[in-house]
Amino acid sequence: MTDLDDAGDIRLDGLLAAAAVRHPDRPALEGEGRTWTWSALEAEVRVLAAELAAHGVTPGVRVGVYAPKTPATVIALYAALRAGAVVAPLDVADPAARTARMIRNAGISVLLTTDRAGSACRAAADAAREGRHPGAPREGELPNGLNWIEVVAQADRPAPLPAPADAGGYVLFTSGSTGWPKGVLLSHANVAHYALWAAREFALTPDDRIGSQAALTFDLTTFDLFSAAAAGACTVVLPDVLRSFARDVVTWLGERRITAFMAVPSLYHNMLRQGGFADAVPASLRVAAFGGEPFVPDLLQECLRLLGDRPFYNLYGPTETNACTYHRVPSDWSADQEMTIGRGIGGVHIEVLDEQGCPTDGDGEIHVAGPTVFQGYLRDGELSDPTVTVAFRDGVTRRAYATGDIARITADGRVFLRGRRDSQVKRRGHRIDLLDVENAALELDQVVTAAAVAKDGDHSGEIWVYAQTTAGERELLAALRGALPKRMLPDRVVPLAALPTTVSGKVDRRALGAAAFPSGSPTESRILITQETSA
Amino acid sequence: MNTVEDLCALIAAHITWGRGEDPRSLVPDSPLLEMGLLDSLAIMEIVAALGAEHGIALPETEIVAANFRTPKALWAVVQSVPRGTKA
Repeated sequence: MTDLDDAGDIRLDGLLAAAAVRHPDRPALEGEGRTWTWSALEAEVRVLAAELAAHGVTPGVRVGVYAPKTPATVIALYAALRAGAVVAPLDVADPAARTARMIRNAGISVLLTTDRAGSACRAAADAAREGRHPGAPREGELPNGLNWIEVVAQADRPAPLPAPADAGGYVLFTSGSTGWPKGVLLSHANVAHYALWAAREFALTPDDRIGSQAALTFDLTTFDLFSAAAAGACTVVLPDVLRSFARDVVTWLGERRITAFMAVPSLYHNMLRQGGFADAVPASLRVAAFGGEPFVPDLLQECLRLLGDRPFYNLYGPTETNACTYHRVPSDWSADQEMTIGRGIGGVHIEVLDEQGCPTDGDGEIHVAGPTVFQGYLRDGELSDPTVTVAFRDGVTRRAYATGDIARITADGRVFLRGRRDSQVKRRGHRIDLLDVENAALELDQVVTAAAVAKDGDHSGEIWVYAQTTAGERELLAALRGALPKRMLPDRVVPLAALPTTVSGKVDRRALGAAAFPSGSPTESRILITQETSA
Repeated sequence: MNTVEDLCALIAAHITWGRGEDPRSLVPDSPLLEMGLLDSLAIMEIVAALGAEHGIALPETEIVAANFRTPKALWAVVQSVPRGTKA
């Protein structure tokens, strides 16, 4: 395995090339009834990368990969990386209008898609080109059933991003407060450092089979792909249609002899509650991890008992920093104990700063520094770096990302999460900015004003939108589905004649967060709750 | 819940339809999963509605992709489950 200190020069497609040299005949990728060895994968990637270069995908060009998650899509990602592109996986389930905003914000010039996803991809490309580039985009065919669509002609493309992204990178999107998803620009080295660390910490070998269940737009999957390449392990792709069925996932883990698995707690919860995990813990499973949201304590305790001696890791980290802290949860952990997100991964520095920007032993904001910290956000095609330069308690001044997560850090470096300092929430493992949801509602013609709130009490964990409108809930939800991905849709939309306000005239979000749903038919309600909550 | 059409209506009621999509377009052979109409939340809502509104308790072992491929596939399972009393 490559030494972590060398990750500065490492390319993600270089991990593939190295695996093809070291483990040419070992399985690399499995799915849809086919298996690729590392040498076969490398050969296909090389051919496709040359084709991409011939169609104008030169180093630094931003490429979106718009396709269902299949082995062919993984090959397309690697080929675009090999061609030197800045690659953004896109989700075919997202509304075209949303995808168009991602394309514009990240400055994507070329889309790669499959026959089946082609028409939806064209719709997104058309929406992104609207008002900017007249006429139909150029497009053509590639090997493996892939097609390319040119969103921006070569002459009109944005200037390459600053180094190291001029030689390529990886873009994942995150919910922003403006209603435009922000492109999180990661360098090859940002992702490779984490991938190499995880491969080493989990002691991955070419005998391992990594179960890849999440969407490629989700940062968890960088482990599935690139830690596999770092170790010469095999990435086994879960069929898309099984993803929503916990019982199918459990069966699949056993049948595909998965040895390493990373998922959000929501999936583990469902595997434990409805999936029959207790009766079918895969004998092959050797190491597992979770991250993205808190694990329900009782279920975590149960899961640990079932996993026995197998290591079970809690990973933390926003997309901007990759996973940056880790904690191997002791197998005898019990639900009455506080859960820590652990310490910084190798080479990464974690600090908790108070409101004055000084290191504190009390509650403060988590700051992350080190080789996994991203290059910046892509907005309107331009890179903006939101990191700050701050002094850590060891006296060293570092470039750090302020995560917005409030936490406490112990003398031995363990971090305990406390909450958020802004309007971001986590729902079913997805990071959602309430203002993003609110903006989508405000952009609807039927809505005068609106507030998106995280609910307390009986509806804890749900997002509700309160809207001043004469439209009904169903009509509003249908309209929102055209603007927001399913994972971001509000659980309820409550139409009101007016929103409750505080004495200062602002929308009273606290009252809305605590308000019960108005009585009566839940789908046809237009009942005022103003009097109930504004007191 | 006497016909597969009744089941189509129940499923349609738990899908968040987008603009321009017609809930009445759901037919017994509609490929629910391929069309991306069901997420895990919609699946749990459909299971809950079958229980609460029709006394049909779907065993957890039946909540698998094969049974949610189409309304017709789910109808076959619904018919095989003994009905309790309406909650």
